[in-house]
Formats: sequence, structure tokens, C-alpha cells
Amino acid sequence: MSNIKRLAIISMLLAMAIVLNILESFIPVFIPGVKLGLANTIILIMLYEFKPQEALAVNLARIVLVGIMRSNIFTPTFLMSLSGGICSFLAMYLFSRIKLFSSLGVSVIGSVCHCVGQILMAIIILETSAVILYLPWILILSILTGTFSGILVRTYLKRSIANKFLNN
Amino acid sequence: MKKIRNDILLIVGFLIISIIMLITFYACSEKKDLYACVYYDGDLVLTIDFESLTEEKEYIVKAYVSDVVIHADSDGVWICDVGCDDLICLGQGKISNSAQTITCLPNKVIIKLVGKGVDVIV
Repeated sequence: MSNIKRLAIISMLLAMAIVLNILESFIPVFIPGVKLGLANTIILIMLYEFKPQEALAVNLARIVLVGIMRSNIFTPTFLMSLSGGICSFLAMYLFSRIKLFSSLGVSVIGSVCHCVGQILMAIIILETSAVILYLPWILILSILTGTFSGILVRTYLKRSIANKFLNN
Repeated sequence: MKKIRNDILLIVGFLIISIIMLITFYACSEKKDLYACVYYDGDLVLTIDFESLTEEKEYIVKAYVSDVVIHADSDGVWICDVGCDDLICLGQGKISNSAQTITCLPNKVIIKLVGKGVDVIV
């Protein structure tokens, strides 16, 4: 019974992550193409409240499903969001286990690693290092958006609704 | 509370790193004697000596998804029209400094400004 409940909550979180991912693409953040990273808050919450493999599964499923919905799967744009998603997940997983930073710091690290991962993939796809000129601008913005989503995650973790629901 | 202090140190640290990067890129950049190199899929397909232009000129590069319409005048280069959906390259505006670049990722097109003293590596 509890397994079914868990699966239901994880699927709901996946649905929320997908909706947030699509919604946030309509919210401009100074530079076109930069997003708020609201979908990432779901992944970060899952890293703290669920098993890491469940968070990874939701993260990968989100990227692939959004890729299919936008019909840009396996295009350069998709590969960039995939590499950013994997980089930020690994960094957030590592730093959420090392108790050096709170969820706020982990969110900032995730967001910074997301844009570093994207730039690395862009360098590979475009076969030029000129893309690195974007890095400082995107870094500054990603620190701001990472702080914003970190505050959201902290506010949530104080209440921890999913866990209360799971343990009932 | 110690974690919050670490968080703030982390944020300030990242900000300092990115501002130093930004300053270095702009300090090392050139503003004059430039020409624009348009790359498609890693190959140099077009060079524009935009500083010698007297009026606005249009260039078209056939690329991966659609044609990329590039405009140039004596002040700089910008992408005017493109066939993909995200239109990120249009939002990047006009570039006139070698610390700037325009990228159209779906089309695999990139525009760089290169100093005339530098040999272009194809």
C-alpha cells in the first residue's frame, strides 16, 4: 500500500515539475533563454525527502518528456538541457549529502552547475569556445535564480507536506 | 545558523568569480579593427568587414533548421530573422565588441567578432 502511495506522490511531483518547466519558459529573466529554475525546486525537494534514485528518475523523465512535448528531443536544445540537468543533479546530490550548506546553498550550486553543464554542451555542439563569453552573464543570473528557488525550497522543507502525507 | 553563513559566503564567492570573469573578458576585448566571422556547424562560412560598410547590408546563411538573416552596419552585426521557435539569437541584439557573440543553437550558427590582427583559423 505504501509503495503505491509513494509511486502516486512521485508521479504527481513529476507532473508538477513538467508543468513548472513549461510555465517558466514564458517568464523572461533579462536574457532570453534564461529560466527561473522552478522545476529544479521539485528535484531539490525530492533529494531531501525521497531517495536519490527517485529524484534522478524524475529529473531525467522530466527532461525527456518536456523534450517530447516541445518536439525538440535530440536537438541541440534538448542536449543542452539534458547536460545541464545531469550536472546540476550530481552537484546537488553531492552537496545535499555533505552537510556544509543548507538547501539554499545547494540550490545555488545546482543552478550554477546547470549553466556550466549547458555551456560545456554548447561548446561540444558548436565546436567553438566562443560560447564561454556568455558564462559570466548567465552565472550572475543563475546565482540570483538559484537563491530564489533555494528560498522556495527552504520554505517548503520547514513544512514538508509530502512526508506527512507518506507517513500517514 | 552556521550553514546560512556558509550559504552567504558561497553566493558572494560565486558572484565575485563571475564579476572577475566579466571584467577580464571585457578588459581583453577589442572594440576597433574587427570583422565578423559567421560559423555554421564549426566551419567558417562568411566573414563580414562591417566597419567599412556605409549602409546596412543583409547576409543570408543557409543553416540546419532555417535560413539565418544577418544584418550589419558600420556599428555592429545582428541577427534579423531566423526560422526557429525560441528566437534567442534575436534577443541578443547588436554586437560590436570582441567580448560579445551571437549564438543560434538550433541552427548551429555562431557569430564572433575577431580582431584584424588575428589570423582566422578555419
